[in-house]
Amino acid sequence: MTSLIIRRIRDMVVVLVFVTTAMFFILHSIPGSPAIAILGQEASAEQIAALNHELGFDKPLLAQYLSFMGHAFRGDLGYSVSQSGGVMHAVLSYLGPTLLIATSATVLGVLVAVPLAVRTVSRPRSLLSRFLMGASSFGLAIPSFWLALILVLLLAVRTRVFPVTGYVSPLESPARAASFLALPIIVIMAHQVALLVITLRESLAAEMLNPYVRTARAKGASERRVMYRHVLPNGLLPAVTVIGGNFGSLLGGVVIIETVFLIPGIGYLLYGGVQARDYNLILGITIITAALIVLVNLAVDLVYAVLDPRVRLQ
Amino acid sequence: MIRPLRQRPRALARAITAIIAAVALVGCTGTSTSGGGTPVKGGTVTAALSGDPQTLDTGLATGQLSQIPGQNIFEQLFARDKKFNPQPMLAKSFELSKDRRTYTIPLREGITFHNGAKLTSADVKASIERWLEISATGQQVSKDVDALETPDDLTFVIKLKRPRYSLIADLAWTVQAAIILPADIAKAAGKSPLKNEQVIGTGPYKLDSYKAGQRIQLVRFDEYKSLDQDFGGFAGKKTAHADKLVFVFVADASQRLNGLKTGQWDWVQEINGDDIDAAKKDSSLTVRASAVKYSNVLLLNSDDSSAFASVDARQAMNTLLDKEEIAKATFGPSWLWKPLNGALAATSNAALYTKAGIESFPGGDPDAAKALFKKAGVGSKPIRILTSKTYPYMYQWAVAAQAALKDIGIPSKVSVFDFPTMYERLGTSPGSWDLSVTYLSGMAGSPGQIPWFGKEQPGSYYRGDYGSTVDTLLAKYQDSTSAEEANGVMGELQTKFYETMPGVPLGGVSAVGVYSAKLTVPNDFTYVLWSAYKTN
Repeated sequence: MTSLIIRRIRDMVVVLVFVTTAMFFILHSIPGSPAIAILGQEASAEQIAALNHELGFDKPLLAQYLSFMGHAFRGDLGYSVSQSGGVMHAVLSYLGPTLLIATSATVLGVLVAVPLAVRTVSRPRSLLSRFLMGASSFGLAIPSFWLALILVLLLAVRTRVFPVTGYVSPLESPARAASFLALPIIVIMAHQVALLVITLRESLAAEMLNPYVRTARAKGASERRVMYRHVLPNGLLPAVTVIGGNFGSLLGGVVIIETVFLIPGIGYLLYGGVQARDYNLILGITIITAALIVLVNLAVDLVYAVLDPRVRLQ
Repeated sequence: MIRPLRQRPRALARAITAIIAAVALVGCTGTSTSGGGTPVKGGTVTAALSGDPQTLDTGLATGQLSQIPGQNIFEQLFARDKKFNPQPMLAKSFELSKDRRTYTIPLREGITFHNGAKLTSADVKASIERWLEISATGQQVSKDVDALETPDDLTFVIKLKRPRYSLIADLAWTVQAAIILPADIAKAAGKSPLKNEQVIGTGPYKLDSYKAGQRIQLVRFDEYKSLDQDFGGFAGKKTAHADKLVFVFVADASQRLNGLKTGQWDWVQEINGDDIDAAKKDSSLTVRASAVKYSNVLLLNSDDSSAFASVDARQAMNTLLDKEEIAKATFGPSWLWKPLNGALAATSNAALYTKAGIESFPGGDPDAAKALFKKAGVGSKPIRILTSKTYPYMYQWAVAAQAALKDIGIPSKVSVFDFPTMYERLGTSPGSWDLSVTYLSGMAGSPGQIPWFGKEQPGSYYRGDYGSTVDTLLAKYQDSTSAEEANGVMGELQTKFYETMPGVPLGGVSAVGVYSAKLTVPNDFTYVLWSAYKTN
């Protein structure tokens, strides 16, 4: 187990250097510059060049790269032009809402998806099961921004159950925080639940064919016990990969959802960074997100080891 | 029928009551034309901008994102009134010498900066020096400036090498404006954008906090010294009713409208063109045309590698496009743009508005256009159209141009980029595009501020005969001695523009003000919020 962790940390460093280098050169090859974002569309080419010079973005690319990497290795991700401050500070201050949304949507998604998936497997021909499978395909197919705008129209503009956009910290007011977070979490959950129901249904259905299910039933176990005590733990493994992968993506920030709902999370910060061509900020978010995803993958591997003794033996 | 005598006093009383009520109603109606009710002091006005301005330095930034919050903080020596004429703001007046080369500008007394310092001519001198260096208009002015002097604390003198008719209009111009800062800040900031702690002006609101990416909060500046006379527009009396002006950044236009409908904010920067009519019918909202107008244009690249290198090809494009049809399809409701005309300054901008040379503006003659394109040898290679979906209307114009070209059998290819990318390609890759899109302010204070005459728009057109003629006419404009003479020169410039056709004007369109019916915006420029107030 310890060697697995050490190996993963070593891999993480390699991944981060590779990702940072690739991202640095891709970013700088895209047209646009921080000066255009600041000066606006009526600025002349000379004014844009002058401001880029003031901001230090006209230095040779290799010199900028080496300077960035040198600082990054010392834990300094540089200065964010759009945030007027350190990148690390900006990312950390925007991490809270993203963590909250990612965790809430994932936990709630699992709590909703597992019983639904079990239901579709235990009574596959029932009307509810058929509806759930149809709804899951629909949930996977619809774009999240469309669902977000429809929900806003129905639940915020027409009926005014929830606010349209915004964010309040749970530390400030848990009730208000819940009302602001409800719609974005529902939108993210819709996709999560749909994916989990479909994934779990496949793996649970495969487990149902194993002899131990027949044995359990022969021993007189109730259908509920058969499903939750015997089939579910074994069928859960593929779902853990899906849950881990999704959670990692959510930590990288749900750009569209956070932007539509004005949630000051990593996705919203990234959107602003791209609009402002804030190279250091985009790189900083990329590095921290990549690190988080590697860590989540490590956690998934560890959970695997807990759930499946065969992995531990390997 | 004759009424009994005893009833007459009651009837008279009723009549008097009715008259008083009617007068009262008329009075109420009079104050509610731009929103409603008696001005209420206090409260917060929340405005949704379409993005984070990145900087509040309106001396450096050109965009409205910076201008909308920034104009509440900073002031200039002169400001434009509701008819776009310059009026003294921080200046008390000005005196022009007989040789028209020396402007003596006395300053208003007792003006206080947000940091508590008093305004002096040293602040004005340092601010104008910065403006001459960083602003496009300032850079034009600097060529004519001989010296800036401060004979005493409240007098500022500009000495010119040659007369400059537009100087006061230049000082009042709002894009990269000549904002007045404390001298130490103006010197320290130099060419860089002002940092948040340097955002110190003399306006009715001061910066309280700027949380990048999220919100800007301004609070009323209680020591603000207002002028008594209200000139409208950006000039004259400013009464800050609200305690706070808060600007939030909402990128999605639908969400801006949704938040306005539910009362999350009181004012929005812009909404989708398709939503304007429905919003106008919504009794909870006020939707009205602003006095501020924009000119929508197609940029034609006159680089040698471009399909529009020849005048014939450029004239062909103007002849081809039916401007009225494009306006109907893409400009929003007709009350925002009718009557359509091709003048380079808006009709409300009387100093520069002229009809000279615009006869060919309407277009819509495909046969004539086809012949001109044939004469220019255009049609074998696809015309490369560069556009952006960052501003949806820009994409719509590109598609409209493509459809018109297709109708006469000329192939074209539309490439879509985000706005900064598109804008950079226009300047850095002149060989990669033929036609692009943009919009320009119709409110310029002098011809030099119109990009077609100021060398600021990419497109390589400012060369040869066009460039030299424009330079001569701009010099002639600056030598004008009367408004009529200056307007005549503007007519000559506009005629030269239409002869050369460096771009195709699609027509002017009003900005649209969209805000809560509970908010009153007592200004013809609907994005001026310093006097806005809310009533229940």
